[in-house]
Amino acid sequence: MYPIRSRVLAAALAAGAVLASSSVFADDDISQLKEQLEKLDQKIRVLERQKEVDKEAALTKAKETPTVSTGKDGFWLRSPDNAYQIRIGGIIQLDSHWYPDKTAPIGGTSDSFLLRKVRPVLEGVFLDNIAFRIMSDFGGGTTVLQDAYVELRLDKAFNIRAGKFKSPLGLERLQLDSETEFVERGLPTNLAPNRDLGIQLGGSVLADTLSYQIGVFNGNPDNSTIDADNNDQKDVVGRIFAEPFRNGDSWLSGLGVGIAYAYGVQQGTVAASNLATYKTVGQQNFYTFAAGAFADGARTKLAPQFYYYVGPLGFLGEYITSRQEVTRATNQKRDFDSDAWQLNVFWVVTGEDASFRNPTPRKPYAGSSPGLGAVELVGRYGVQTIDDTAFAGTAANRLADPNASAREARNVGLGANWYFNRNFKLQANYDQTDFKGGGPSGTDLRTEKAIFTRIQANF
Amino acid sequence: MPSIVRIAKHTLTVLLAVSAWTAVAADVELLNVSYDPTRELYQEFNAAFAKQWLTKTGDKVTIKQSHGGSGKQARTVIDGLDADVVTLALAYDIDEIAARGKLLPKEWQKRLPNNSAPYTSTIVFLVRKGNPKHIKDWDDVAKPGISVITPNPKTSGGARWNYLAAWGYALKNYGNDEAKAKEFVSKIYKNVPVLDSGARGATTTFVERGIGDVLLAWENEAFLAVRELGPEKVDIVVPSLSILAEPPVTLVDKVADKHGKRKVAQAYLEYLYSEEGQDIAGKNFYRPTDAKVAAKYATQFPKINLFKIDEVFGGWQKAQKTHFADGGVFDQIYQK
Repeated sequence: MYPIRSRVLAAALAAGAVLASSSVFADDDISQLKEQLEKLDQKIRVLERQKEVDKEAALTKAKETPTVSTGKDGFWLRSPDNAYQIRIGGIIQLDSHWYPDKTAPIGGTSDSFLLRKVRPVLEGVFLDNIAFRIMSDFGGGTTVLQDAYVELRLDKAFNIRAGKFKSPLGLERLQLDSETEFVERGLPTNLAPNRDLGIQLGGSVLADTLSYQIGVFNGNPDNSTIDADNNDQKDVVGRIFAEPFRNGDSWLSGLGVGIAYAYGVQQGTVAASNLATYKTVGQQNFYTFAAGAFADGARTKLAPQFYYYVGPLGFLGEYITSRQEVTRATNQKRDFDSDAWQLNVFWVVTGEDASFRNPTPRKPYAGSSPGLGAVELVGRYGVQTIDDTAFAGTAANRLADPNASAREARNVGLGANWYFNRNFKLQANYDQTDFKGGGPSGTDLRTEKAIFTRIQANF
Repeated sequence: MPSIVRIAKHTLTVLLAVSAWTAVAADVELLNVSYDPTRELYQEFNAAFAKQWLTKTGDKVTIKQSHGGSGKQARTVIDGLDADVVTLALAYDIDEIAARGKLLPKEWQKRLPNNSAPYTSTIVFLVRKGNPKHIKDWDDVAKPGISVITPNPKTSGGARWNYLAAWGYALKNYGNDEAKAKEFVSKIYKNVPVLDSGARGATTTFVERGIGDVLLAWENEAFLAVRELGPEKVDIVVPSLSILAEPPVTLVDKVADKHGKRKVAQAYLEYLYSEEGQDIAGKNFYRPTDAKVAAKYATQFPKINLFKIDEVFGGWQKAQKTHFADGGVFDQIYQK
C-alpha cells in the first residue's frame, strides 16, 4: 500500500537490527536512531497523505470545471453541476420522390431529389428547470421557424411550455421528425394540427405511467405551421396518454393508449379561408375547398390513439375525427366532417426492440469496426374520408368540386429502414393511394404510386 | 356541438384527476446538506424522523445526506445543489447562502430556538494512547516539534472553530494582546504538516494514516474515534479553555418551496429539538440543548470552560472577515 515507506523502513529496520545486535553501540545511540526512524516515517506518511489531499483537491476542482462533450446526442456544454446545459444538434434529410405513373389527375408529379428537412437545433436548460429549444428549417429552399419555446419545469408532473411547438393531438405528428418509421406521415396527420403558438401545461404522474398536456393555441388550419393568427379565437387542445405497464417487465410494458381532444373557433374570410388542403402520402393535393369557402365557427377534433411495442414488433394506430363549420358564398354555414385512421406495423428484423423512437442497433456501424446496424420492415394502411355534405349543392355553393376532390383516400405503404447507428439511417418506402371520386365526370382520381427514399443524419 | 361550458368541465375533470393522482404519490425525498462529522448523527436521526413522519402523516420520507467541509458545502448549495435543509458547522456559512445564494431570509437564525442550534459541541484534543508528548493544554500544542493535525479553515467549519479556540485561549493568556495571540496561533500552524479539507479527513489523517501527535477535533468526533478505535489506541485531552461551537440548522426556503417540501422539511428540523431528536444528538456525542436531555448526558461530557464567539470575536461575520477572508490573518500566518 505504501511502497516508498515500506522500502525505506525495511532498509532502516534492517540496519537498526544489525546495529542493535552490536554491543558497540550504546542505548542512547539506539534511542536516537529510533527517534530518527520515527521522524522519517512521519515525513513519508505526511508526503503520502499530502498526495491524497492534493488528489482530492484536484478531483474537487475537476467537478467545478464546465464540461464539453460530443456524442450521438449532439454537442453539449454543461456546467459542473449540470444546472446549465446547452446542446447543439441538427437533422438533415435528403429525400427522393419517384412516381412511376404520372398520368393526371393525381397519378404522380415530377421525380425529384429534395432536401426535406435541414434543421439546426439549439436547446438547453438553465438553473435545472428552465428549458428552451430553437429549431429552424431550411429544407425545400424556404426558411421556417419550427420550434421556439421556453419551458418552466416546476415538477415532473407540472411543466409550463410557451412558444411555438407541436400541438398535442396526433400521435404520429408528435413523433420526432427524426424518428418516424415512414418517410412521410400517414393520412391522419392531415387532420392533426402541426406546430402552433400557445401555452401548454403538461407533465407525467404515477411513476411516468400517465402523461398529459393541455394548452391554448392560436389554432392553425390542419397540418399547417403559421406564425401569425388572423382571428381572435383560440383553440384548446388536450391529450392524456397512459402506459400503465411501462415500469414492469410484462409483455404489456410497451403498451400506450391515449386520447386527444381539441376545440376552437376558426373565423376565416374569403381571402384567408383558414381551411386546409388535404394531401396524399405522396404530398399531392386530393381534396381542396372550393374558392370562396372559409372556416366560419366551431372546430372540434377527437383523436384516440395507441401504440404497442413488444420485442422487435411494433404497432401504432390512431383515429382522428374532425368537424369544422364552413361557409361558402351565400350558402348557410354547414358542418364539414372528415375522419382518418391508420394502422402501422413494424418489425425490426435484426432483433432489436421496436419503440416509439428509432431502434438502437446492437451492432452499430461505427467507423473502423463496422457492424450491420439494425434493419426494420414497416407496413401501414390508412384511410381518410370526406363527408358527402362537402360535395352537396350546386357549383356555386358546394364546399368542394366532386370532379376535382376525392371523397376518400386509401393508402397502403411498405418500407424498409436501415439504421446504421443512432445518427444515420436510410429509408425506402413504396406507397400506393387509391381514391373514391375526384376524377372528371364522376370517375376516381388515378391511383398514386410513390417511391420515396431518405438519407438522414441527425445528431 | 360541444359547448364551451362542456369543454371547460372536461378540462377541469382531467386536471382534477391529474391532481388527485399526484397527491396520492406522497413519497417525499429531502436533501440535508451537512458538514463533515455529522454522518452518523443524521443516519440515526433520519431513520427516527422517517418513522415518526410515517406514523404521523402516512407519508414516506427519505432523507438524503451530503457531507463535506462546511464552507465547501455552503458554496455547493450557493452554486445550485438543491438542499432542502442545511445543517452546517457554523452560522457564517449559512449567512453566505442567504447573502450570496438568496435562498433564505437574512434573519434565518431567529426562526428556531437557541439561534437555530439544536445541539452544541466544542473543541478538544485527541492524542496517542498514553499521551506520549504530554499534551495537556494549548501551550503544548504550540511547542516546537509537536505535529498538529487540523483541517483547512478555508474549507472546514471545524477548522475555524479550532483556530478561534486557540486564538481565544491566547488572548486570555496574554491579556488580550492580539499580536501575541497571532504569534501563538502561528506557532500552532507551523506544527501542521498537512491541511485536510474537512474534519473527517483530518480524523483519517490522524487515526488511519497515523500522522501527528495531536488532532484538534470536534468533541463528538473525538468521542467517536475513541468508540471506534477503542480506548487503548487514543486518549481525549480536555484543554483548560475552549470555544462553544453552535452548529446551526435551517430550512433552505427557496429550494423547499420549489419542491413543495416546506412542511416536511420544517418538521424535520423541529424534530431535532424534540426529546427523541435531542437524545439521538446526545448518543452521538453532541451536547443536547434541552435541559432534561442534557442532564441525562451530563456525565458523558467533560466540564470545560467555554467562551462564545460573540464574546471574544464579535460574531461570525467579524471573525470571518478578520481571520479567514482572503488576505486575512490565517493567510498571513499559513504560508506553506
